[in-house]
Amino acid sequence: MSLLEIKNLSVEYITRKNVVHAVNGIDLHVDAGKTLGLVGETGAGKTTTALSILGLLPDPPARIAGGEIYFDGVNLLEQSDKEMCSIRGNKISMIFQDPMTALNPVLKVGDQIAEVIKLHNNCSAAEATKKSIEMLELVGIRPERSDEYPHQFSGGMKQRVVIAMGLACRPELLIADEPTTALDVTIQAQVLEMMNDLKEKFNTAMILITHDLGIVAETCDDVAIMYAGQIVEYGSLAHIFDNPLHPYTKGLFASIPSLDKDVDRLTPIKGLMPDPSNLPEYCKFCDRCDQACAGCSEKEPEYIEAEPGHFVRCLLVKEAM
Amino acid sequence: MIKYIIKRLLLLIPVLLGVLIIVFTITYLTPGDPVVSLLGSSYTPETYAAKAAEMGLDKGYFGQLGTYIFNIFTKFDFGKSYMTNNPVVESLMARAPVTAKIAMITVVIALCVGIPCGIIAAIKQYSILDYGFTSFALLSSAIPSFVLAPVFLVIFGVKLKWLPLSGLTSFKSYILPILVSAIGGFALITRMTRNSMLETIRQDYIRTARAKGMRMNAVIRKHALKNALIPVITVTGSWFAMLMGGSLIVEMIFTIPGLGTYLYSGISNRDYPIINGSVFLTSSIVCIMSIVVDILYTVVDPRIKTQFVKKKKTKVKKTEGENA
Repeated sequence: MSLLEIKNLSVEYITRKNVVHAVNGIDLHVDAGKTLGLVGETGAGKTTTALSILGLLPDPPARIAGGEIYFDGVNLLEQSDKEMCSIRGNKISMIFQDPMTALNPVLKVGDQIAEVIKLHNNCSAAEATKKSIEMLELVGIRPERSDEYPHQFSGGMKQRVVIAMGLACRPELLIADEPTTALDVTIQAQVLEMMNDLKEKFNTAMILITHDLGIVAETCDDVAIMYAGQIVEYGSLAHIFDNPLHPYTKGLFASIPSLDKDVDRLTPIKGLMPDPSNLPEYCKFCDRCDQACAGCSEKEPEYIEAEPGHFVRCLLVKEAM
Repeated sequence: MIKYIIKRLLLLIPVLLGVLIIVFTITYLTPGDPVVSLLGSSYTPETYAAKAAEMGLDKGYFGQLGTYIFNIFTKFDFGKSYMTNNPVVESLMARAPVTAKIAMITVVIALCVGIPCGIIAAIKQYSILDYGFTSFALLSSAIPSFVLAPVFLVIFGVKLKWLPLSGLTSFKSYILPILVSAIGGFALITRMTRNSMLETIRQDYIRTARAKGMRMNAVIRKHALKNALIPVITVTGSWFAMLMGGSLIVEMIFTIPGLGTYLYSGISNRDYPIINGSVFLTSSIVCIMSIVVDILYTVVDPRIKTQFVKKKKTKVKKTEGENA
């Protein structure tokens, strides 16, 4: 059984004017110790998926319209706030996108790490402090800096602190929401490498949310491509990188500059993602798809298993089979 | 930090000197003759000249200003009241504790009630409690104290006869003046706390704290409160300074022998030393409060502290470098 299993999850944001369908019936699973890459452009519903796992969707306006999220066999959506609090930060923890704002500016970084340790382990303040310093050392920050405040740290250092916080209780699942987007490229590599090492050390499963396929290639075991709140393609790293089936996935790869060829212009995917408050009834990608045929704009394509373990949501793939 | 405080206190001297000169000049230029208002209509040029000399008003502008400032700096003498001949400093000292007592109790009550109400209103935004607190705050900030005070006097003093109408006889006499000033402050503090709390709980670090598995109440207490209080400190500081200057209307209506009524008596009698002395005291309080507020900032927000103690920090770094 998988560590995390999301079944047919749908999330909507209800505003006064309309209903935004952020996540529309996604299925995902993450096995213990494995890394799943959740890839998609801005607004595809990646962060919403992550927040609904933790039960931290801003409510209102967000509402879980349907589905189940099983973690260790328990449906997280049925847990009380108290039960969720004992899971959050302990069994599932999250690293947020922007390290600049993720830390409380008026508390010492050491205390912010010690807090999560004290919360989930029955230990004294002194032990928690000691452990928080160990965590800081683990992410490469000198122990004497634990008495400093976030504004005294650089962006990369802050992200290390956030990672230390996320891993402090040795979670079974770590959700990293674009952990390197706010960092420059050299620091990105350091942080990713460190996260990979720690993940292996603690045998933590990870959901890595990103729009950078390079990062996915380096760190992930499985990949899910998300588009307009749906999983359009899902498979192992080899499936997705060697044999992409969905036109959107192919488009993503085509828009990466190649090292071998000398090209003046990239090939972007034309058009924009459909308005999530007014999604088409048919294939969501149809309007941007080069290969779209008449059947594509008639009904929603099924989510089919094209080869063992490789799922795709495209009519063309189904017809070709 | 202590160095910084001393620096700020020393900077007070030129500021207050400026205040002295400006206030003195304004009262000097004010039309009307204090000698005439003191002597009444029956005076001869000789008695007028004698009285003016006695009050020190026979000298020119610079002469008067010079003596005034000289006396303050050498003897801490702010002159004597023209009317009663009592030294201004003594009267101020006698009246300041009354005003200070009312101001402090008012601020404490307004903070103790206003901050929790503001927090609840923010956490339960758009709930009945939120609407209740915010509309009460809006209402009470819309009613001026010169309306509220007489209404309270009529209800609690005249009709119900629970509380005394005027003067300061027992602790009961403090209730109404404090209530009237606290209601205005409650409105201010509730609105301020609500707004800054609403802004704070939408910050990313609040979500981080929630993701650690903290209950919402603990997150508010440990993470949001300190951040949300910074603007509340600012308004409370200036409001307290205002109250310390003597809430003129409230003190007048309840006939409280505080700084407000003293200043008022000075103004209505053209008693210039009283006006100058009162305004000087009020501006000193305002200046000191702004220093206190700045110090409180550093307690709450370490980012502000780094700005103040920058010099010290670079020194530490230097010694580190030398050691290495």
